[in-house]
Amino acid sequence: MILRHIIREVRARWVSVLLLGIMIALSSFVYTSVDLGIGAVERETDAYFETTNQEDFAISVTPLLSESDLDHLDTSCLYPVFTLNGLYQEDQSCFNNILNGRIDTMEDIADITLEARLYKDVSRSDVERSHDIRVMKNSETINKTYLENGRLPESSDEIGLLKNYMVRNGLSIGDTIKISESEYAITGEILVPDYTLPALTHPFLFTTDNQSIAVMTDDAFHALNAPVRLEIAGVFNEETTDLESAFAEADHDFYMGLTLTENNFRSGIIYTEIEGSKGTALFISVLIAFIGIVVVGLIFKKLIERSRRPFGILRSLGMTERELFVPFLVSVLVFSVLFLGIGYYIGYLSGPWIRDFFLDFYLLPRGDIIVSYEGVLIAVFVPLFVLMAMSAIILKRLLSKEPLDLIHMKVESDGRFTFKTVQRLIRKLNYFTRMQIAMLLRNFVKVTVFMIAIFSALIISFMSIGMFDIFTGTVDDYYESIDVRHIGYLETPRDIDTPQEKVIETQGTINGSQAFLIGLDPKSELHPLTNRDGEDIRDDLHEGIVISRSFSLLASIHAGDAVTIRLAGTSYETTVSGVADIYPGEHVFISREVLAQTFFDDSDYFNAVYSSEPLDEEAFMEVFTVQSLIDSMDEVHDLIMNVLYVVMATGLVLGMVIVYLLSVLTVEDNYYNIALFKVLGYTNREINKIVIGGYDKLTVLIFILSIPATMGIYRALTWFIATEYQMVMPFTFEWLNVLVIGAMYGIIYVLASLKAKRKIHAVSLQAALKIYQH
Amino acid sequence: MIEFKSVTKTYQEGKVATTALKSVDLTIEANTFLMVLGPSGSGKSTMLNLMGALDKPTEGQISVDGEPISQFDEKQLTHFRRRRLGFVFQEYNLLQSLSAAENVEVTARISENPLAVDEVLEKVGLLSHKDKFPYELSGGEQQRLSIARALVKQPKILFCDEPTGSLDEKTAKDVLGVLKKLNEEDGVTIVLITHNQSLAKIANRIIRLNSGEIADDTSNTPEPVEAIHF
Repeated sequence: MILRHIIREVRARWVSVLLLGIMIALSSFVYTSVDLGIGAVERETDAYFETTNQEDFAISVTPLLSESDLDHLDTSCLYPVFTLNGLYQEDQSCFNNILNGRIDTMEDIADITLEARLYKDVSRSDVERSHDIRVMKNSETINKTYLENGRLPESSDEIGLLKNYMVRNGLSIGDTIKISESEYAITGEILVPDYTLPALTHPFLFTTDNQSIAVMTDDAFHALNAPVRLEIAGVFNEETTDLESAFAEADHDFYMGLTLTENNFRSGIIYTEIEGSKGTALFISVLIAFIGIVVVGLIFKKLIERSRRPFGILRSLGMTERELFVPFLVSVLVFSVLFLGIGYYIGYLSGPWIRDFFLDFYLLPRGDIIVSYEGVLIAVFVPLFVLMAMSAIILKRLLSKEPLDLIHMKVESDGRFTFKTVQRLIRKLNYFTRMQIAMLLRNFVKVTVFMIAIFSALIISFMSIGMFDIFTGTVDDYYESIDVRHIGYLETPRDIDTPQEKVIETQGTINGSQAFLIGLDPKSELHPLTNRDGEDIRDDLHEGIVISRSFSLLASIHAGDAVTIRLAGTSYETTVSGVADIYPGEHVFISREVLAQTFFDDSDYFNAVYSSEPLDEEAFMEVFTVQSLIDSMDEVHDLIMNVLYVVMATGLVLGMVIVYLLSVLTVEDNYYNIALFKVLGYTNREINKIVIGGYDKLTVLIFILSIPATMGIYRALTWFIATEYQMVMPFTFEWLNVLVIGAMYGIIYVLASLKAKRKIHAVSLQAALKIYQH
Repeated sequence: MIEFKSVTKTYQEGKVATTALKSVDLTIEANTFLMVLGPSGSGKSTMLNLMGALDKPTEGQISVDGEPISQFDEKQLTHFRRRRLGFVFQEYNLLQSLSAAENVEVTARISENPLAVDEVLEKVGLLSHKDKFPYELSGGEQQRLSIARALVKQPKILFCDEPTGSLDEKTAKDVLGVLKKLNEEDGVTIVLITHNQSLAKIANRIIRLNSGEIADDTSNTPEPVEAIHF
């Protein structure tokens, strides 16, 4: 009979009960899916890094020949070149001597082992769109190639590619691709541990739609007609030391900087990603579980309270406490297990999706989904225990009352101390505000949950909408602000016709921070420089250097600062004359003439040209087309948007469920008060104002508070990413987003309020008062 | 003046129809202290709900001071209650989260010409308790507070539904004394419904209801409250 009563109660309130179930299921689902999905990635990743001996750090060295390199330069190697690549193209053994000389010098600094990591960037010539292939020279000890399927290339016409790239481009082992005029047969699917994210041409460009890592035989690698680039991979032999300080102290002229793998975007962000994702998932599921459990508690309490009269009657008829307690608790058990089970099962089904989603971005081996006892315990049994314990306490407290106390409804008068204290503080406020505060205080726990839930949902929404353009917007903004559409790179300068602008692009350091130096003509027509106010600051190049805002943030260098530029052992002191409002990379602009004269002893020197028109690819060592980067960025943008839509939808669903449940609960909690106000002659409008009005104001207040909170989180994130990864992600707060989020939540809130108001209108008058007593 | 003309009230619950009042005709003059007596289920509360503009009759007409309240829609009924009527309930029905003065203010705020809150509290002897919350007051004090809440709007008619039902004899007499004073000194029409026959002595008109019909309607020479024995 009790069970029948419970079933009727559930039927009568099926929307609330269903939403409640969704909350319970959601907490289990979020944790399970991420735990299983990330767990599969994490397990394989550890073993993968172990097998392939992933680098502990990477050292950037200058691509220019430095003074100290002369010690390792044989007299037979005196070619008219400035760069390591120039030397490589002329004579590989001379190049190797320099490289080995640099490595030997650096290995003396600390107990480390180093290995040069050479690579060449080429493009496929058998596809219409530009497909960038970064061919890595095989390593011997550090960053060894990992074979997922097939075999490694054994002859000069073979190639190994990333599985992700092959899948996205319909390629299989045995197919052939064309690079320049040569055809290569694909022999296997490979991974390299120094690229867990395929950030090849740009840190934010990490899709494998049109870019891949590749390996070939050493002969095939050397035969590729492309400039060689390099970094030095390193591992600690015994114990880790403060290498950065040691290298800075050694002050070798070819050394440009060192990045520990854990701080390296291309190789180490996976560590943060795994920890971050697990932490975020745990946080979200705990948050949902907390909110869910409190809401469940409130609704269970209501359901049980609604049964107090039948309980009282049954108790007075002689039914024992236990006979009432057990069926109720069993119902809670069945309900909770059902929804936690559904949540777990959906989470289990989503685990592979989460794993595969990660592996769409990250270049890592694919692990199996393995169910762990720990996972089940956290996702199912912990919330189940909390729900059962909470229900048992509520039931026990209720059933311990005398039968007559159960039959007669009581008007709750909790929070007496709070009323008294607050009353003194709000005495001077207007009547309706005081009434609204009194109503909110009556339901202190519910109001607190409401605030936490809405605040969290708003933050989730703001964060996701704020990230809509974060990966691509800055890059697009930069390239849209300039008229450079094609960049041609040269190894040896030669005469170039106008309107192509001669520039120098090279790596250097400024006050010890790595910088991408761009030698630009102050009269450049293709590359304007503007400050935050939109003013043209190209003339500032006459006074000193102009740094990008991102470099300013990363290196903590500001306008007016005196700085030292170092490039291949030569230093130049100058001042920062301006900060350009651009974000991608560590761009630093300097007058080309000054850069050329200071570091290359030739005021006419240049190694690249900027053009608004297509360039003759034959005339250059390499041609970069801005549009291809923008197109690829659009693909990243689409991918990111899909993720953000999911996150945003989660925030909205969370917000909707909470607003709905709590607005309905609010009316039920105030059933007595509403009836009384009606009898006294209050209009529905006035009653709405008193009962719901407090929530209106509270919601607006939370919304307003969420704005500075979001700004704070943006700043913290920008700081964290800049500190950890030397990358600036300029989260900018858009007031348009406030309008959009405000409108969305406004609609949800208005709908829930309408529901609540309809319920208020339906409250009967004196009849409602009669069922309560003091 | 309250007028009932052939008023019938039927409640429909599912397939069961219950007639709580059957074609009742009744006129209550101003300044009357009317006692409505009857056993449970006799229709007392229904009558009060209809007079008090809390409900509408199934048939017949009700007017209060010439206003045809049986034809009013919900909005008009609300407005009418707000302007003209006061209510006192058996269970006090106070707002627990508000102080005594604020409970009175709840009514004062929606009244056209309210009395000062302190003045009303003084009248029911609760001025010194104005900052106390309902849970800090005794049963009698809580009921006097609910009377004060009704009085602050200076109602022409005060409806009391078993106002002494939860009180002991002494406290009940205090409360009845307040009501009697209001009737005699301020000219407020009092309609008090109760199943307690002994209260009838203090009224100047007594109606006995039985099964939804007026079984007896008599005038009475009111006695002082002290004459009542519970």
